[in-house]
Amino acid sequence: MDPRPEPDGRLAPAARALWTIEALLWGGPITVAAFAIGGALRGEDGLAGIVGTVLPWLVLAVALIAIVVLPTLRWRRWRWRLDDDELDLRHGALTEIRTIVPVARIAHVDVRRSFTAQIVGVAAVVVHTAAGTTEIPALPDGEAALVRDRLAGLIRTPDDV
Amino acid sequence: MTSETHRLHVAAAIEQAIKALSDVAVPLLIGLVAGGRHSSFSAILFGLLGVGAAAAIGIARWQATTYRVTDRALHFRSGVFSPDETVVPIDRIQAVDTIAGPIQRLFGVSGLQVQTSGGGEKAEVVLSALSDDRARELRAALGHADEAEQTQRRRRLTMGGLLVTALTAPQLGVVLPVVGGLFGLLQNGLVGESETWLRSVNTVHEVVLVALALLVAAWVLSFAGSVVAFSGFEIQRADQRLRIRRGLLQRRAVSVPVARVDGVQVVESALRRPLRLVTLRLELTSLGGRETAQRTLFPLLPRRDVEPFLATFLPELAGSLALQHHPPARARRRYVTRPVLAALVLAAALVVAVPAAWPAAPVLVALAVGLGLDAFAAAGLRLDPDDGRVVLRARHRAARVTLVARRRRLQELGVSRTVFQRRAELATVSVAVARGTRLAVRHVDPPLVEEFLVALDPRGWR
Repeated sequence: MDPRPEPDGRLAPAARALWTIEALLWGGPITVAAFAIGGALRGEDGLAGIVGTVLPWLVLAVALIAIVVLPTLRWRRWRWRLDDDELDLRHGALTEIRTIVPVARIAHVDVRRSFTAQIVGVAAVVVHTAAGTTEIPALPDGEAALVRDRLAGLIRTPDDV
Repeated sequence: MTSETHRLHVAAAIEQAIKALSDVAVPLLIGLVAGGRHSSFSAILFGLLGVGAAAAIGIARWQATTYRVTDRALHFRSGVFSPDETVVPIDRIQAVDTIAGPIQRLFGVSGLQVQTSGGGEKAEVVLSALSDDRARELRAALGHADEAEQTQRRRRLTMGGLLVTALTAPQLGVVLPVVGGLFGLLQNGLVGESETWLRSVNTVHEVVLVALALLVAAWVLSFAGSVVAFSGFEIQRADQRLRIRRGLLQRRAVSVPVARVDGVQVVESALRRPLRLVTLRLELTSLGGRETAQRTLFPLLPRRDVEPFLATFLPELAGSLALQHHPPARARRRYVTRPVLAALVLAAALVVAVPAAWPAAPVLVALAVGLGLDAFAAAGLRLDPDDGRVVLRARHRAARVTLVARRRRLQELGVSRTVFQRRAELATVSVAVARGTRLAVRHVDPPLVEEFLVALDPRGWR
């Protein structure tokens, strides 16, 4: 068998905006809450006081990484490839993950648009197998529909296992 | 082919009546107690009324439940006030299971559960009571005839086997937290006394005693559960089907088409491994969701019997289970690092909470080293080029698990590298099979990753 080509498809550039918005949605409130809790604890003696001083800044640092650094890193690492036999994904900012899903095992395909995804004009292609779901998280709307249609054409009835 | 409408056996009415009675049991009891205060006569009247109502409900439900088989489909109708009709196309039926609870067995009848490929956790249609003739007729009409053929290929779980199965039941791990939770609740319940009670349980001695008592309680529960589930376990191979019977109170007969078996898991749980005993589990994709007991291929088997057992009952998956590839020696310390870190965290938390428990710290760390080395020794693969199977072995949830799967039925292949693994040029390979069973072999060399991806390549499956 010829060597397997490296996955070369990329996500929509708007994926970065999508992840930034999503990270803001949870990172913002958590940071505010951490500063509120920190403010209440700071007057205390001992361990509580130290936690009150350190915790808010720690949370802020994590939130900033998730909002500013991770979206770009994730987007830069994401690659995917689809042929008649398999869906080949490679991604992961810290842990590099390669997943190969045989097309013959795919039961059905969804295109999912969350509210935030609609704002930036991307969609996720979600592939369901008996073992679970695998997704390409952000493709331009039109491309997501194309991938879905191509997969729908390749999927055979579950009976010819 | 019949197209007449049939009712279930009358036993179904009694089963429904008992169900209805248990639904109204609480109000009925309250009524009985309240009525009993005035006179025993009103209590008896009230009780009779309740039983009468339940019987009426049972009969009404039985009357309203009918089924009919056409050339194409099974039509099932049930419901008194809002009748539902379920239509199951015959070619979508994956399995027809026989179940017989205490009531059915009293009447010498049995129930049929019709499973389809799409269905969720529950069977699509449950016909709770049918006479033997009707059941046979229906099975034949649905194309799932009960092969009466006698086969030499059968194996039964002996009484001794059942006893050992129950004594070493893996449910122990699940039951333990439940009992622990109950214990906590109980303690909270004794509001006034709990404080003095807690204060009295503070010596190490007593803590150990309480823990032991919990363990015994969990063991008893798990023992009873296994006896109920696995009594009379029997497997038969008849042509293209595996027939599995089991159960003490409720007898189940499940028929699994061999073509639907994607793989087999050989599970060596912590309690069974020292005895060189294993459990075999089926990996099924298409047969709806089934609980663990239902996926059991055989509850207890000496390890050396696994290969002959497969050769007899599932020759499709038989063959050597010997591993050909292992993680390199340099991966050994990586297997040890993670459990040792976890043990250190646990030990630190323990010592902070109970300083007197410091001797436990080195024990925990030693245990972690042992577990890590064991995980390293367990890990490996078999990727024989002339074999339609793949074999993976790893420690998974405190058990040593060997997965044998048909290559073409794998749901997913995975290769992952953490930051540390990238630096050491190691990777974790994994496969997913059937309904979410994933097994990973950690820290393997790049050439093996390459071989793994080539051997299991889905391109060229067609």
